[in-house]
Amino acid sequence: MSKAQIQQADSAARLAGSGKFSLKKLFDDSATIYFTICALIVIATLLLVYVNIGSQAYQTFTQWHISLTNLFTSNNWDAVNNFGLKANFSGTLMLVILTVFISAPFSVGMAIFIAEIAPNWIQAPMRGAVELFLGIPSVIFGLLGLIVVVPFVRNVMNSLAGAYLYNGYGIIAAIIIVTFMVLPTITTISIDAIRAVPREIREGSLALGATRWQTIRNAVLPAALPGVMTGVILGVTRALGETVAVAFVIGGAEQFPFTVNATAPFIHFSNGSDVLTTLLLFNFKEATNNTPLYSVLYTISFMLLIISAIMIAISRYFASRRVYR
Amino acid sequence: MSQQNSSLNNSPLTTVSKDGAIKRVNEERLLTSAETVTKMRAPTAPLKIQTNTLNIYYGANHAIKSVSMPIPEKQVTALMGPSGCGKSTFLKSLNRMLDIIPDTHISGEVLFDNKNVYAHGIDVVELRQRLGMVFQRPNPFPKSIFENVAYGLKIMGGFSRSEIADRVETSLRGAALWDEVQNRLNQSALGLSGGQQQRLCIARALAVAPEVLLMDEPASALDPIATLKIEDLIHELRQQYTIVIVTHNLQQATRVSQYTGFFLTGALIEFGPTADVFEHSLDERTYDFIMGRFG
Ligand SMILES: Nc1ncnc2c1ncn2[C@@H]1O[C@H](COP(=O)(O)OP(=O)(O)O)[C@@H](O)[C@H]1O
Ligand SMILES: [Mg+2]
Repeated sequence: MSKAQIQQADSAARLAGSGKFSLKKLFDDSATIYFTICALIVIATLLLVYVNIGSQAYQTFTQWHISLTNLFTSNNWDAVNNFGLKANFSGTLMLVILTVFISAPFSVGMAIFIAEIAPNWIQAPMRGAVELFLGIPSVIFGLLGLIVVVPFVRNVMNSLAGAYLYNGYGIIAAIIIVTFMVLPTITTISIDAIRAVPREIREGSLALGATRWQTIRNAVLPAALPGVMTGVILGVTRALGETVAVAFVIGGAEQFPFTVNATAPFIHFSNGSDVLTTLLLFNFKEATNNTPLYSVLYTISFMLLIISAIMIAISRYFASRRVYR
Repeated sequence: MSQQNSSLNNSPLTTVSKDGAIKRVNEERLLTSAETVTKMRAPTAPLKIQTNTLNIYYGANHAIKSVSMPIPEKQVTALMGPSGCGKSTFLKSLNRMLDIIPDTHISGEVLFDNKNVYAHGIDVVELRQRLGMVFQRPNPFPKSIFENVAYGLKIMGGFSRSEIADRVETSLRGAALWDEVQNRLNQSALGLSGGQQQRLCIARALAVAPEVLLMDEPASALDPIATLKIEDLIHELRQQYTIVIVTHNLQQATRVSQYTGFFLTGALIEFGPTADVFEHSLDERTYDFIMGRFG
């Protein structure tokens, strides 16, 4: 068909479409309506979640007169009158920070190895293995934690202490398990970020006399950093929200993850503690409507929602700073 | 002029398509006449680099065929020839950037200040600092303008902060970029225009005080005005540096270079002073290429 012919057919089709019934137009319109409805449903659901949880959470302060400072600073939890969350906040903070501090360098190292150093034929299977790791359901991690990590922690800590003091449950076991869960998240995203750095950047560095390591450290990694940070933040989000696997090994006791006292080794890890998510999990089935416990649990949920929203915002920021993708 | 070589550009020797097969025969007839004999008008200037029977293979692909080429000191030597004839490969062999491509094999010598760069015990890091390289597409690091130029110095180590700042300024001046960027040294280099980025890459190479600049079609991604700026810069740089420039553009070769080497399917067909090569080609194929009658 010549260009003129196409144009003719085109305007004929447009003429046919205007006013009169047209199948194409019907499809177009119904698709638009369909996608608009989908988008509206998503937004409405999100709003509903925030409003619902938020309003329930609000009652903690209006109806039960529990102050935010009380939640944050008190250590006393009995699920009836006292709702100090300090131990759980500390547990969550410890879990997130230590997990990410341990797994981030490891993951980035692994990503560098897979993306930059390993010979080509190894790269694909290694990446596949990491992705497989990523897909393991958290309940499996929990079971492995129970069967492998708890006894391991028990043996190591008791032999270090020289006495039978520890049952193996608690924050340490949780950190070990969640570290393994966060590792593939940061690794896969870092691999993608490193791969996205164009070959020209490496060549530019090598041509200035940089060694391969100097090139990775000074040119490739800085160029990949925003992408790597996106992975780290997603790791934080995962560590923060992880519940099931942690529930298997954390021990579920309302006490500080560790205590400090004067006798060596000064830091004594508690046999069992709780993080915010597991506190929710363990208490919700007993909470009845219209009790302070009920509202406090909603307050915790709302805080988790807000923190993860902040994390998403931070990861969006890093994503927007990515130069290469 | 050079557009007429497009049929050649599109048929690398290895293709065995119907059209390609005809092309193959043509080129091989051209080459068998004297594949490795270069029509040479040797330079009178002292030499900075000399390759001797340099052969380069990518796997089984014989990309550079027994090339012996002099490169005179503090002159601009242009490398021209149709696409895929080995210009970039030859250039990369000089500062051993070919080392990073797996499955390359090299025989023969590249004498740089009379020392073979492929000899045992050569420090590749130092070599690459002495032979700076500028690439076809500007490739600044995603860092500030200052950090880009300071990169090589920081890699080398042992420079104080003020020394680095001095060298950054000198290099940016040397690359005719200082006036345009002196007030925004801490801004990202990626915000510069293509031409500025390319001059930044030249400044980056100058910062480590090279003796030779290897430029692979440094202006091919730039607009005509940016191209002229680069060419002016090359004129300036010739006072201090030995320059080897790959160019696709024949006028550019005549504008910037004193010597020209003409490559065809991996062989150096002709070498000599640019004016002689262009006006009195010793080889029919050079003449055809220059007249745009190639292929
Ligand atoms: N990295 C590489 N791996 C394999 N073959 C290559 C590579 N780079 C170039 N070649 C081959 O070497 C020959 C010369 O290429 P090149 O030096 O890039 O030519 P030019 O720069 O003159 O266009 C071509 O046949 C090309 O296909
Ligand atoms: Mg090339």
